[in-house]
Amino acid sequence: MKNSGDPLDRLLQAAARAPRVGVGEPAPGLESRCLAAWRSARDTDDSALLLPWLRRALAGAVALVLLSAAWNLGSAWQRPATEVFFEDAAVQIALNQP
Amino acid sequence: MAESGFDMPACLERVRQHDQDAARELFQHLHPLVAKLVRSHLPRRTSVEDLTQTVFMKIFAHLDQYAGKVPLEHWVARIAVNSCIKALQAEKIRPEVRHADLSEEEVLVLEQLAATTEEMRPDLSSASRELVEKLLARLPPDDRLVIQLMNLEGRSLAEVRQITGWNVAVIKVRAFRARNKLRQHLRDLMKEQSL
Repeated sequence: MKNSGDPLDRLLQAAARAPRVGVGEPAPGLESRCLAAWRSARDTDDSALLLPWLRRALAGAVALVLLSAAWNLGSAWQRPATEVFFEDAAVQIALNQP
Repeated sequence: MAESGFDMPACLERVRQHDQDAARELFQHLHPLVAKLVRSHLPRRTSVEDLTQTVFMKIFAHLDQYAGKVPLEHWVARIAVNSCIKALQAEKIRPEVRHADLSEEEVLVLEQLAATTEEMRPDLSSASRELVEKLLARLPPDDRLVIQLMNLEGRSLAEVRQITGWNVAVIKVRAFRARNKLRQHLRDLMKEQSL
């Protein structure tokens, strides 16, 4: 690299020439820790595959419960009206009898 | 990087099928690259080992996303560099560099910078490196990274683009600003020295 005379350039050029510390072997246990983390993440991933299926099943179950509740509620509301209608009809018949 | 006898695609396929021996081989193959990158861009308060482990966990966790469009080493380098940037961003305090905190050799470096326009003496290159590390610690992570890659590791724009994912214009602007900030910090130190 050309020497521009700029102190920063000269400093950076000198720093770039400094010998690098060798990387060497991985620290003891590093490999085992990385592989253990990989294994546990993989197991989590496998169980995570079930999650969307479980979520869909839960949504289906909730929908079913709501539908059933709505159906029952509808029937419950209709029953008194029908009963009143029948009672009213009975009264009308009784009144209309000579 | 390419070791004779190391079949990368086959190894990746085996790792994807949960083969532990293949995962070990991949770790041993990639460790020198990851350790070198982590050491170059290491935050002050993080250990090389911890950050290397974090990088490997990310590599293994996202291996399914590697499509093979770029060499694996480039993909791994980007993960390593991004992890270092995140760790640097988490380190909020940027230490002040004071003249009183410099070693004798670092003071000698400053003296030579002020006294001559000659190239730095070879025996001061390690001290120069330490001084640059201290000055770089003052910069935001992205600025530090661009100086490290371009000026200290001598990487080309294309290589920096590949490692960081930034476009060329962004790299040039960032490098220009980073150098200006670094120059100002160096000037402040030299001013302190002359007092």
